[in-house]
Amino acid sequence: MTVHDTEIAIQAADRQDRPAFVQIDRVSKTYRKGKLAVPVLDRHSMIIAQGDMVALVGASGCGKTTLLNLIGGVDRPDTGEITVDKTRITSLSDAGLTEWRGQNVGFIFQFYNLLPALSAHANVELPLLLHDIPKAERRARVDNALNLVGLQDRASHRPEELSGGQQQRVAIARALVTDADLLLCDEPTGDLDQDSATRIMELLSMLNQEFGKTIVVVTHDPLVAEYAHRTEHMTRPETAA
Amino acid sequence: MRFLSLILANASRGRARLAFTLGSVVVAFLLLGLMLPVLRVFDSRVDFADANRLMVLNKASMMRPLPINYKDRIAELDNVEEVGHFTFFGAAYQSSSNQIPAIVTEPENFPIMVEEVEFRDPDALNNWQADPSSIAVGRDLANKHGWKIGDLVPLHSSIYNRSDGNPVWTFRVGAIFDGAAEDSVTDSVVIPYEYFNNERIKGEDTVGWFAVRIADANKAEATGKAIDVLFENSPNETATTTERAFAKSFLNQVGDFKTLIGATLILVFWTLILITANAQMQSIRERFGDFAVMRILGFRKRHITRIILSESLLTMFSGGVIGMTIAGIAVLIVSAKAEALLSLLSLDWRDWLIGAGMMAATGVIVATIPAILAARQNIIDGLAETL
Ligand SMILES: Nc1ncnc2c1ncn2[C@@H]1O[C@H](COP(=O)(O)OP(=O)(O)O)[C@@H](O)[C@H]1O
Ligand SMILES: [Mg+2]
Repeated sequence: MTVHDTEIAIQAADRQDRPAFVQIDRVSKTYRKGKLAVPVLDRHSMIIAQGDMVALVGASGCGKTTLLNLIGGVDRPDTGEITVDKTRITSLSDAGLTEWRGQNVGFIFQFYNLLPALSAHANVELPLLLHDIPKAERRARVDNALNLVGLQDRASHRPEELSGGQQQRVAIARALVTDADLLLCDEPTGDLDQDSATRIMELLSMLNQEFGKTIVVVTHDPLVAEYAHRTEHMTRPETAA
Repeated sequence: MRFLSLILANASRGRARLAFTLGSVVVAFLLLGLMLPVLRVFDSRVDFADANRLMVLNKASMMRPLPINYKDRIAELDNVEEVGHFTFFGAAYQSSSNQIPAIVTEPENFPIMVEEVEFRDPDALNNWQADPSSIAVGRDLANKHGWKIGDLVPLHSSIYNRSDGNPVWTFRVGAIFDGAAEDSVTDSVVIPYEYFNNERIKGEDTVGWFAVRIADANKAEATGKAIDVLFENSPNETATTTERAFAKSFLNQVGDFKTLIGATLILVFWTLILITANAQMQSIRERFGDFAVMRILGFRKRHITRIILSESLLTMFSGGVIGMTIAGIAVLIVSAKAEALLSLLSLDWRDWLIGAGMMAATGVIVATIPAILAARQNIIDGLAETL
């Protein structure tokens, strides 16, 4: 054990004492394509502590994205409960769930999913349009978020004028601008070269340590997983007959 | 409108398609803006006719004359206040292509019978009524040919020759009359009956039709019937209608024309809706991924619907206002240059109201299908489409 590993181990022990931020309690999800049933999650349980940074790894198709969608309130489980920061999101109405995820969750995708017609600034501003925030304050918050990801000088650029790494940083700024405490990242470096990937992971790490964001990162890349405090391995449930 | 910047940004993304869509909207509303005033001018002619006036025509044909001695018999009937008569003269001035509306009547009761005209100078009226070979001329017509009171005007009749066989009748201008209403057309000539009747070679003591002013418009039908009964089984049976009804039946052909214009408008609008709906649908489909992302970011379905609807309304109103403004300018130019009926053309607030209604309605119709498609879309599938 190196000194660095020891430090991580101590931090991890420390986090175990912190309150659970995300509680996944025996959640099941089966997709149905016509007559065919595809079970993806079978009474899956998991706890993520406040301020934790978790890597979610597993074979392609094992249900990582599905789980992320359930935690983020984009989709609903068939059975089981999910609680995030004391809100039982599985009990919210559709409208309630939409509003909740708009305020409490930041999403980061493999392909960035920025709106191509909008500048970096407008993309980051997008989630703020849902709230009654004066224009000046919106501007300040967007500038702040872009500063944080080091893209203040690219504010007027459209996605197509930015590199993949820069686009992903815009996406991170968009996830930060509402001050969400939970960041869900689905293969955030999957489409990036090594240098850009490193920069993104350092950024996420910084957000976790400096701002106390709770972060879940789905990844295939062992190097990416190293930035997390711990790694959850997922396997696919036995396919029922 | 917090989403406006979003809508404008999207508009600038597909410029070529936007230009095409906007162009078709502009053309459609340009057409609407040109046709609405034309349709209204036709209507204004019907308003012109009076329910208080009956027209007594020859039942066999409206072109066949009636004996003048019917006048006194009609005048004796109940509800009849005043009886006048009119005959088409069929005038042309200088060249046969320059037709002038000319009518023969009795100057004594012309101002009473025809309330649409006004003699502002009582001396001129007296002058005209005193000289049986003088004519009264509408202001527009007098201005057009530079006629003044006292001028001699030769009119060629395509119907009546004088007793010496000459079709050219020379009259002195006795009076110039104006229109009682702002928008009346004063381009006609009024010829005294007595002189005309004495001088003409054929058709003596007949008139084209009688006009009957009645006291109670509600009894118009009964009075009309009484007149027709009076001349039943005579060689010249009559057919009496209110002037309004007559104008309407005369304008039935115009009505067909109106229907044609209306049908064209509907077709053009239908095409417009198809074109813009199709363009809108394509542009929405391309943005299903965007909408899925927005939904994940916390946008509700009604936010997305509102954005789509605003986009569509914005397209219709900007294209529509441009189109109708161009139409307004065109109508202004045409009415300034044209004479008679066309000079009445104007694009006024009623047309703008109809136009605005059309813009709103087409905006909503065009947005409906895309909005439904977007609302039905599953977020996860939508996201998958961006990959
Ligand atoms: N919307 C869906 N409809 C049907 N099947 C789906 C859907 N989304 C995912 N699946 C299936 O569920 C399984 C898990 O998918 P996913 O969670 O995307 O896996 P991962 O992200 O781990 O690669 C896969 O077999 C996939 O085909
Ligand atoms: Mg996945």
